[in-house]
Amino acid sequence: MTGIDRSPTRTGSTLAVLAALVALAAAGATSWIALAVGTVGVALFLAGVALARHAAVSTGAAALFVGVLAAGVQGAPVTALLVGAVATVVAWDSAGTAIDLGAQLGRSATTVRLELVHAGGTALVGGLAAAIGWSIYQLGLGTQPLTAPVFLLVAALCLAGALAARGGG
Amino acid sequence: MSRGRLLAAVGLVAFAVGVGALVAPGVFGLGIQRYAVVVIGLLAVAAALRVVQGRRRAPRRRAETAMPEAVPAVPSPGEELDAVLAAFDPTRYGTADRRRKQLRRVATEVLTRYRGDSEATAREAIERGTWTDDPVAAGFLADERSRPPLTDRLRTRLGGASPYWQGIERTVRAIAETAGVDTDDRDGSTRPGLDRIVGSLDGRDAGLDRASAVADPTPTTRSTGHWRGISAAALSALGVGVLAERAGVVLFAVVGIAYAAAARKRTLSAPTLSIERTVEPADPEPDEAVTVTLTVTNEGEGPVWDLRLVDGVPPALSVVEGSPRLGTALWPGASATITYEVATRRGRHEFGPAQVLVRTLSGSVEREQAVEPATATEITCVPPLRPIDEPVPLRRQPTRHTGRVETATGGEGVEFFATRAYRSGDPLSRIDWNRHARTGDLATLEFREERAATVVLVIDRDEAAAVGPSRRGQTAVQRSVDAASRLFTTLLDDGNRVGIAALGARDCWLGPGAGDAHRVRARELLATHPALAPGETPENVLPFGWLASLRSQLPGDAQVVLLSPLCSPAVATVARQLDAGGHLVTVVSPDPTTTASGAGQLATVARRFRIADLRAAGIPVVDWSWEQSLPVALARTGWSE
Repeated sequence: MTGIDRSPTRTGSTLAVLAALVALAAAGATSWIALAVGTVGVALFLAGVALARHAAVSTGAAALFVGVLAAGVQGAPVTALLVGAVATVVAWDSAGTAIDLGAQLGRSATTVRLELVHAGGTALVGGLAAAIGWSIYQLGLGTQPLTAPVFLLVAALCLAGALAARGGG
Repeated sequence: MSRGRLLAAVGLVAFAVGVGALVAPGVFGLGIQRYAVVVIGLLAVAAALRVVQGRRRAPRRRAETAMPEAVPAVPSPGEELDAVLAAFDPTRYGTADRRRKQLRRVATEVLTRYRGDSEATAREAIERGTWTDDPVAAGFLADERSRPPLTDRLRTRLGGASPYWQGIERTVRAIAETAGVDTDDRDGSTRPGLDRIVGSLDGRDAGLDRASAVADPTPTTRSTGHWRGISAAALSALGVGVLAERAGVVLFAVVGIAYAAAARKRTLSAPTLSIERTVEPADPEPDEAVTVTLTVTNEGEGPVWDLRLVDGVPPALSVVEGSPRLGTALWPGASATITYEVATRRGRHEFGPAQVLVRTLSGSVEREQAVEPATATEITCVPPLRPIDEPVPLRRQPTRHTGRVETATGGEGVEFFATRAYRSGDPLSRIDWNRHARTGDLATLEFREERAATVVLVIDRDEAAAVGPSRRGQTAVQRSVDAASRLFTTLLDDGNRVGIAALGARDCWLGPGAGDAHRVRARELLATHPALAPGETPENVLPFGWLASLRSQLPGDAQVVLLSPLCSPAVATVARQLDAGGHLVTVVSPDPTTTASGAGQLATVARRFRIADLRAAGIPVVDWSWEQSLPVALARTGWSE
């Protein structure tokens, strides 16, 4: 035996590709720009997963996310947007995990349980966050004067900055 | 207070104000202007770009796992050109133009040995460039460097190789051809340019995964950077949403922030894991497959979300079925099992600890540690001893014990040796009565005396001997050990007293002896002594201190059979010193050389020099080619002194 197959694991790759397609469908359904940018993103993403390249996966996921943003700017329904955003993150996360697992354990190792638990965790966090966001939206943030959203923005910005400073985000 | 904490505090205040404004509009009627919102949006986008940039600068990290599946690659003799050249002239190792000078020396030696030139003639031929038909090689070694023909220079340029390396390659080839080494089967011819030349000279196989045993890592925790860049999603959503006045887009930020917060968990407590490993069977025959079953259990209170495990397969064993790796999640008290098969080889093989990587659920922190089972796992494979039918090439030597070594002494025996004049006291049965009847003289018949020899088999297990012609094959050390086991059995069956020693390893010593207990001890030693273990790279030993202690252990009349590929000058010196010290030495030399690379060709030439020198010193050498079996090699040598 000269070596082991260190390409990304099957389960993780499949999950990642499915999630990316869900994101593309959610964003591209209402916006041609989102469909175009998202398709390019998915193509890059697929190439990254096939060749085990983190950079290509991240760039593809970023393009997909830009597509979702474009759909949002063009006025897509909030539910579709949240699904698209969460699906993009799940795709990115699963692809990265699949690449790392492939490199560390190889394709022939049993990893299904690990990957399902991990992807489940990511989807759960995203789902909860989306639910909170959706509730805020339903509370009427969209109709309020700018005061509230701006302060929420600044809050989020600062928190994100704080997290980035700690290296976690 | 760190920048992170400050930002977090400001963020919390802003969040409170924002929620307050949401719940009770009018309380915070601050009348913020439209332009301030735009500025904040632009700031958010800029910050997102910065995060992306930061992600690009700081790549993800992950623990590297060991490659326990495959056995370590076997280097070929002449793995490095410089090392081979150093054997000819060690003093020049490391100087600027050393290769040219060393090659000149090799060429001189080849010319004196194979063409019968005197040293002066050879030097002159090299200086004039008349020693070979190859103009590039001739020019490379000549003092005044003649320019090679235009066609050659063009080909060199087009091939992308420097004239220097081209010169070395052609010179090595010319030397090898002069020495009669076959230079045709080269494997490097498909690689282009410089790579091909350097590769073909060094015989290095690029891109081959070198296997290593699972190390015993000290527990380390590291941040993987798996989620690095996720806050860019939040920031860009904020920026774009504000600038486009879309509250729906702003909501994405909540998702991004949630992930960033989830990835923030920086601590990962040490998991309480236990592993249990069973092997079946634990004492297999050689080449039998052994099934390894490993169970890992989470003994802790909390779940282990992300567990990656690579088992510590012994370095000498290769996995033939299944995978010694596992990725899983374990609830408290839960366990997971993997099963795989390894092919066994001679020796005692101990499993190392399993390499375990644990991550948080988000995967942002990774902890690496080793986990060992409560009892160590071992596979012991002791091959049976098999004799060979060929006579073992011992040298003639008188000893006191009767045996089957034919001596050059006449006396009592079965084979006619000579007649001599009758001396009073000779037994009547040995008087040549035919001759007495014919001539009336009294003569005594003498028969060839057959005596037992005391033999010590010395196995060369130096680093230079751990080589072989194929990457995934045996090393010369393993060949030598196998040969030693067969020679030992044959010699013992013939009534000799046989011992075993390993070059450079003082503790690997079995004094000459006979009998069944001795046989069992030898079998155990050959199979399991660490100095002879397969798969481990032996250290480079300087054998001269060891030689002194071996001499003090050797019985005065002991012969030595040295099993060595003769890949280092030191071994040849050992053989000569033992021989000079009164122990009759025979060398059985498995030939691990390959002519596939330039350095391999040079190593072949060097080995031939050593064999010729030993034979000239009166030490018989059995040159055992890799494809032959030991009995065939012994029969071919046709034992004669």
